[in-house]
Amino acid sequence: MEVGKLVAVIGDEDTVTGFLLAGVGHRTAQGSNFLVVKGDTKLQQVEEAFKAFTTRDDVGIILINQHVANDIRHVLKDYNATIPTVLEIPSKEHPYDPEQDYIMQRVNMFLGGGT
Amino acid sequence: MAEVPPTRMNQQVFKLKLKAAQGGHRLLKKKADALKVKFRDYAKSIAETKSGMANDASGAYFSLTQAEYAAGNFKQKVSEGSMTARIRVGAGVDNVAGVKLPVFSKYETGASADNQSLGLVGGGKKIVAVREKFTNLLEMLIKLASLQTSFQTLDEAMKVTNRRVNALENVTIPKIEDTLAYIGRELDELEREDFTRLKLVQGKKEEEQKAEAKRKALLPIAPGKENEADITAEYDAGDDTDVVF
Amino acid sequence: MATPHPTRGTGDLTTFNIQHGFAEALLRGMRSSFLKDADYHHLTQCETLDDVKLNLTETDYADVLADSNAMSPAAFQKVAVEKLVCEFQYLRTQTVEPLSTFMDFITFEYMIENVMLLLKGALGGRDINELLEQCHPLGMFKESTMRSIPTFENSARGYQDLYQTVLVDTPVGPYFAQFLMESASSRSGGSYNVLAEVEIEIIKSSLIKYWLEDFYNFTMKLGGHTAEIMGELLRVRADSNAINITLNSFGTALNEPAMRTSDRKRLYPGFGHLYPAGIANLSDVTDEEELGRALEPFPQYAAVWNIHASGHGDKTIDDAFYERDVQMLELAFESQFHFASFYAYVKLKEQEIRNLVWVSECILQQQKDEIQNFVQVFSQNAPWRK
Repeated sequence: MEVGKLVAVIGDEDTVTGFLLAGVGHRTAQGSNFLVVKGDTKLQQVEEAFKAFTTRDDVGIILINQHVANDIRHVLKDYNATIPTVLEIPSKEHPYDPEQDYIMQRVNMFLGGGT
Repeated sequence: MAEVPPTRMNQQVFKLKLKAAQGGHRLLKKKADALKVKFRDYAKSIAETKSGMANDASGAYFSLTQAEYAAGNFKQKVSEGSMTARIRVGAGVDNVAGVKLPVFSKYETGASADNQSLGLVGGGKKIVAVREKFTNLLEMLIKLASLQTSFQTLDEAMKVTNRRVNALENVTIPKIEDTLAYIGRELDELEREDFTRLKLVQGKKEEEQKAEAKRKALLPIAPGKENEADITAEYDAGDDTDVVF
Repeated sequence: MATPHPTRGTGDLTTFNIQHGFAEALLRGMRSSFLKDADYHHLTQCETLDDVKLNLTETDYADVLADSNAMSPAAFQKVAVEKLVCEFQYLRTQTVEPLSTFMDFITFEYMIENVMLLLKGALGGRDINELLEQCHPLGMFKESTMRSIPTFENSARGYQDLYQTVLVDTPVGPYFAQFLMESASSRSGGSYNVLAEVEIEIIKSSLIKYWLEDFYNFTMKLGGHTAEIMGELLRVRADSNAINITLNSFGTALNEPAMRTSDRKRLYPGFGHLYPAGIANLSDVTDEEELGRALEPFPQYAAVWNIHASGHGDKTIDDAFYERDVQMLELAFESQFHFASFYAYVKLKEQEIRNLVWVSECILQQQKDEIQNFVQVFSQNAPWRK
């Protein structure tokens, strides 16, 4: 078993390519730790990948494009463990919108009105 | 409440309980405050890092566009073939007011880079720039992931602590106080009962004594018989047979 | 060697048009399909991709865009490449030998690219349909051939089968043969598992090198203006490949002392202005400074290198090469009685597509500051026209 956990990526081709170049990619016979979401990728596939990553114990962080996260928001809402951490990141075509990020909503609520 | 027998011993026990609960309440309140401060810090840095991240990300994506202009379409080649993660995250633990917060740190496995010669006949330098940009972005995201997990854990811990504080404040302490009041009341009641009982006994006794005294006063007192004055009567000669030797 | 001997020459001033006049005339007609300065100006002013598309409907891309619902840089690129391929294939059908072979040579580059993509995908066990989708349409073999490439198992035996049954029949087969032979002679052990061992990008570079050499020999045999102009284009291309390979090898395993002579040196094409003296110098270069010194005796490359070395501005060596390529290709396209204009047409169109992608990406990502940083084709404002 390797020390340290993997960083998984779910996103469009540019996002995945970038992070693979950075060196997070890991593909073995069992499968890979990334999913390229294209125009014709089925929602179900994304959901399954997300569920698979969240249940793998060698994954520490899941990076997911915000526009992809919005598509599977219902799955994300049901996920409430802290590890692996789900991070919503912007994509090339969709600039980051803090309004849609669950964590940012919480942050803003706290910074805005206090708890 | 009713199941607690109102005894002195229980009163003592509950007094101690109350003291403990109040102490606990004070400490938890302090913890909640400490957490809140930390929480606010984290919230702020998350807000900052996230907006910084958005900038870095667009820079990184643009570097990819630049590389594609220089090196042609190389993207599909990156996701092909088997690969080994060069960067993993190690999980450490930070401690804030007794709450364990997971902290991720970048960890390089030392595996050699894949696709090293990408863009060999052109654009290689641009691809190297993409690597750098995304590595920086990744580092930032790992930091952000730590912040976010901490934020969530703290959020959870804060909820629990607040719930405890509230429970102590609104349920446990009033309950103990009620019990104490009940015990006090019952004990007072007992005391009062005892008092009346004693009074009653005393009254009875006094009455009896009075009655006795009255009776005695009424009785004709046999003179000498009652007292030592006529001790010799015991030794009445007539009562004894003569002792004949 | 694979180079077919041209059965007939290209002809000259008086005889060229007998054979190739029609094809050339068609090509000349396509000169007007290039985006003009005004088009570029409009495109760079766009705010959204919708605007870009709208503006493109006023250009030669109108017809192909009208039929598609493309709305991303990648989709624009796909449509544009398809248009180019369509035109290219039309031209190809109108040609007679030896121009036909010449045009086939142009496509070999893309074939190599596709075979490498399929091979790499095969290693990763990817879906064949997905891979075929990504292949460059200019480098397609028969569908059945393409499909059979990734079916071979990932083993030495599998590669041997792959080579013997599939690749050997393709036009790029001889380059594979050459690569396998050279690898076998420099390495001990079975020759056929080199495909599995060597990094795919390096195999590709080797194949490209063989292709360049082959293409060069072919053009030399054609003679006439073609040899003169196309030869120059290929020489420069060979040189820039050599320079780029050297530059990009810094920091990778290829720059290791052992690899420098055994592997990197083998990637340098065996012709060009740098060959042989410059190439000999290049093979010992270990860092940028030495590379600069090795290029000093060659004024044309020293100039390009200085742009890179001075480091100021956004210009990189890639931009400098592109700029010089465009200049040469424009000249090649606009002169007459030779085949190089066909090659120039494809390459210039590629540059135009690259520009189109660049502009639309800049718009998409809101990078307005960078939007002018591309090399225009047939621009009146080009530095070499002033």
